[in-house]
Amino acid sequence: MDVSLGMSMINQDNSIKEAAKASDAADEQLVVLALKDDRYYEIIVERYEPKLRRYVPRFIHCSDADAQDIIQDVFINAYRNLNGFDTDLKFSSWLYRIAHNEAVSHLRRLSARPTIIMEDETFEALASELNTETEVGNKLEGIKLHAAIGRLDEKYRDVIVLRYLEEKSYDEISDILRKPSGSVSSLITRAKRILLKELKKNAIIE
Amino acid sequence: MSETSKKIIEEIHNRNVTHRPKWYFFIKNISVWALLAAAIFLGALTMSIEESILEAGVGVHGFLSSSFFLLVFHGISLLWLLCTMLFVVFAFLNLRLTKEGYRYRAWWIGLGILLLIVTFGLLLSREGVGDRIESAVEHTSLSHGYGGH
Repeated sequence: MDVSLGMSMINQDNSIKEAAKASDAADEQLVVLALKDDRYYEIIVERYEPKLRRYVPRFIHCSDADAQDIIQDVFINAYRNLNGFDTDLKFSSWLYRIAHNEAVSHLRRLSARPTIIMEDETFEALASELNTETEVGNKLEGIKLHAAIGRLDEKYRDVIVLRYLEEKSYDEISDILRKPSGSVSSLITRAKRILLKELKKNAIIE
Repeated sequence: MSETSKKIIEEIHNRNVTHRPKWYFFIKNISVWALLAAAIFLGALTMSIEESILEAGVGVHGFLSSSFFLLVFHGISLLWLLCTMLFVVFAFLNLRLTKEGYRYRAWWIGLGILLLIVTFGLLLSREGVGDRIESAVEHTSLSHGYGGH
């Protein structure tokens, strides 16, 4: 075998191994590496594609094909703007911000009102959260909140989805929505109050 | 790698998407700060002109007997005030566009900008900048025959 060909195969193999190791690397490190080598971006896509595939339909009601289009645009936009990634932020917050903006643009193009698709476990988690804060008791447990959340204004739905379905911290939500943490906190409190009112009105709870 | 992930990577390659260069973001960031600084400076400038008009107004009120001239005088002062407010709004919007701008409450940002403009405006006024601009504007309008008398 030609020595130079052999060396290049070894080098290639080593870099693939490095890439494999990098799959455990922090997002921010991966971004630095992805700017030099696209294979690292593949790791980012692999890491976040399932998360965004859950987040986008939770935030807006859309078909699988639409969700895939949105997610594709998110990763293309992120790739294009990778040099502009603010290292003061968490990479996930930056990517969710892009996803949020893409989803909102998609909604505006369709002029549609989003509805939420929730799994029972996430719903139950939110229901129990509402319980602890308001002492309504255990009556909420197991009740479907889909419709009530779908009727919320966009600003309230945003924070509810990010806080309880995506389990983001207040600071992360602040970075994703570009709102002060204090406003995020007030929005969440107000959203929960409106949600409870809505549930009481519809006699879901007493 | 999942099918969707593969498709995304393929699409990036098919569309020949490239990373925007670092200087693009640098210029974008600098432009926002430059516009913010310009808005604050212009706001302070209009504020100092306004202050010099109001100062002169103390004497002018007794001097101008015609209500028409008083109306014009108040109109001019109101126009500068409007300009200052426009620059405050412009500076506010620019500050919200900066990387960290969204982290602060809107009214804190508004108050901060207003304080900056007022302080800087008073400093310019003390240096006589407002008087000089105001007399230059007056001189230009007189030389174009808008002075009336």
